[in-house]
Amino acid sequence: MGEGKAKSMSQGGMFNDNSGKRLPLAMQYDYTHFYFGAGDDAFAMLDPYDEWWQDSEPAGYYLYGLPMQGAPTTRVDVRNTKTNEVHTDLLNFASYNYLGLSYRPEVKEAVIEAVGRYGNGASGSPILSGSMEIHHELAERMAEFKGKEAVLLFPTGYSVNVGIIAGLMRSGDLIVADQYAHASLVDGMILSKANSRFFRHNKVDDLERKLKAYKGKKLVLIEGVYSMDGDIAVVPDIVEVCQRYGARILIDEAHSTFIYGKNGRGVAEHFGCDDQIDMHVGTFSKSLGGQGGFLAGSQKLINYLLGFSRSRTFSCGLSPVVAAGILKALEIFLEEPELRTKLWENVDFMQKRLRDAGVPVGDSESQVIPLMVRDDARAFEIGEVLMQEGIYLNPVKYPAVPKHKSRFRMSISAAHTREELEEGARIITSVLQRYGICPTTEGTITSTTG
Amino acid sequence: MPDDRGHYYFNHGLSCLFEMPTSDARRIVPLHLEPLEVQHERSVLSVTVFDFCEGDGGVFQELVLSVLVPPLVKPGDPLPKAGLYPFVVATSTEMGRREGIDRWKLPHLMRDIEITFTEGDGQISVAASTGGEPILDLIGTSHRFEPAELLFHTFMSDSGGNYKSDVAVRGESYSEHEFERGSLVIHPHEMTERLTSDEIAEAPFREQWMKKGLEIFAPLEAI
Repeated sequence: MGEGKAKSMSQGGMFNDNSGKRLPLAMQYDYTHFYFGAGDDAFAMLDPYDEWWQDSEPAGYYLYGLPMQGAPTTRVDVRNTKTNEVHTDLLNFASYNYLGLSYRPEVKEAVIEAVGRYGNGASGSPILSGSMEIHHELAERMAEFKGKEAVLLFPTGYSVNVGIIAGLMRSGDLIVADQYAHASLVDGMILSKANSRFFRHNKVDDLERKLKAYKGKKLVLIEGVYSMDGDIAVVPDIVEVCQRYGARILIDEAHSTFIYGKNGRGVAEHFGCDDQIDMHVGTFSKSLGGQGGFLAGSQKLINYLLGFSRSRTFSCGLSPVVAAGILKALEIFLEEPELRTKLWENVDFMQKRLRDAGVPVGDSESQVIPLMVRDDARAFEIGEVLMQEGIYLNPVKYPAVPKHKSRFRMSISAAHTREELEEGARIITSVLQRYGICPTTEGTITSTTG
Repeated sequence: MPDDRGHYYFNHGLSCLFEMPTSDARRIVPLHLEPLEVQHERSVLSVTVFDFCEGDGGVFQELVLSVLVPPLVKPGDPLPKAGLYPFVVATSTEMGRREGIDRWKLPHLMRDIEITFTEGDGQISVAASTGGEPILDLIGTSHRFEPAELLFHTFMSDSGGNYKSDVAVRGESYSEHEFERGSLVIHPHEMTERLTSDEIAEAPFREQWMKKGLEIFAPLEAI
């Protein structure tokens, strides 16, 4: 960044880090500053954004989307796009591969076999030519697994929520979502043009206030496991309020299907509320290690949304190759209940190790564990140090989470060995101790920024 | 060379941001501005209080209710922290009010108000009222105090047109956080009648508190 530009940017934000040292310019701004621009040119924001980005990417934003050199196993090689160095054998706590199924040999074989039969893509919308026998088989198997009349497949998890919310709700209806609802739920609300409200996270009295004030069609949106905090929805209380006010419920179990509940159906089953929820959403990209998503519900619901889910109708069908991998992963999941047992043992072990070491992990009670570093200015720096010391984790910063609630979102997998968890906990604790984020008797880094 | 900027020194400046319905925000802001949304249909109400101790308006207290709007970012210009559309301002003195109306074209409640600031352990409580009639009660809390200089774009409108002023706020002790520890109680009052108080969050999602600071208004620009 040139001197003139630096001067132009330096007058807007906070100047110093915790220790009083001057912050890098990149840390004074974030994405929210570049949402609207002055003038009539649709490209007016590109120059100010680029000025910021040239400074910000090497300062830490490069840590996002680093190219992995192979499968998302528990140890991965990742290319550092800033230095071009490949960091080898990093302990992977960043992938969603909760059951380690994405790279299982049986899954790979099923995928290869499907390529031989179907080729690569579906080559059409699922309502036209993009449905193949394997899609029907997957939908039927998933309906059996979820204990529902029918399942509708979607090409991505995002498109499930967008498609069904906008497909079902209309202008003048009311949608109330938990304030931590995923962007796909929020975008579905926007597309539907219904009146949208949010209730404070897991606060049922606030939900009741929003529902009570409204006469007409109502839909409530919650998640099973909230993906930034790893806590779970208070489903029984929410169900009770929704029933009292005649609101339908959609639960997004992207991070909880195949993990929670007696049969692995999700948090709704875990609470014994499975039949009281109207729409069950899940993804194939997390525990099953594939791609795409699904809605499980009544046959009438699926029939209706077949006609009204635009995100599905106007997308190419899920790749049959991916569908074959998912089917095999589902089969393995059903045949190997010990995978979930192992996952929960790993979760309990890691949660305990981190909590015992004083690592702040918020209210997490799941395989998603936020490491609350809180220090916005140094989240990237800590991410770099973790990578250098052998850990692959992605920082999560404002505006994805509130200011001063920066974190690393850690994902535990059944595939992690006890030794890997031990090693990961040791390195993470050691790095966070150095930054004063968890207690230590040794020296703390008070300033390395600037 | 005369300085045509406005200078206002303060003991405390507290600004808390609350989610509010976008439907209310749209009714409040003029057509040439767009309310910012933190979520779909959730805009931002800024409740700001100042305890001015010296400067162009003399000694007075001020309460400002604003809706957050996008700043006007231009290549080469300093990047502002936020854009604000103050839709009602109230002051404790006639002199403070005249300064805000005549010089900065800000819409005012045409009566003196009383504001009390009570600083406690890591928090500041503010109560605003007119002649014993409560307007609002605001509590802000602190995180880490550190020096800061902040730039805001403030927008005003009157029958003559639309304006912007670059407002710089600086001080040695500034705290900002999003721990949602503060609170707001809005009372039925002429000043708050454009707000659907049931729909405004009770806890601020951001709390900004500066002690011993200076607010500088740049001359109005027609936009």
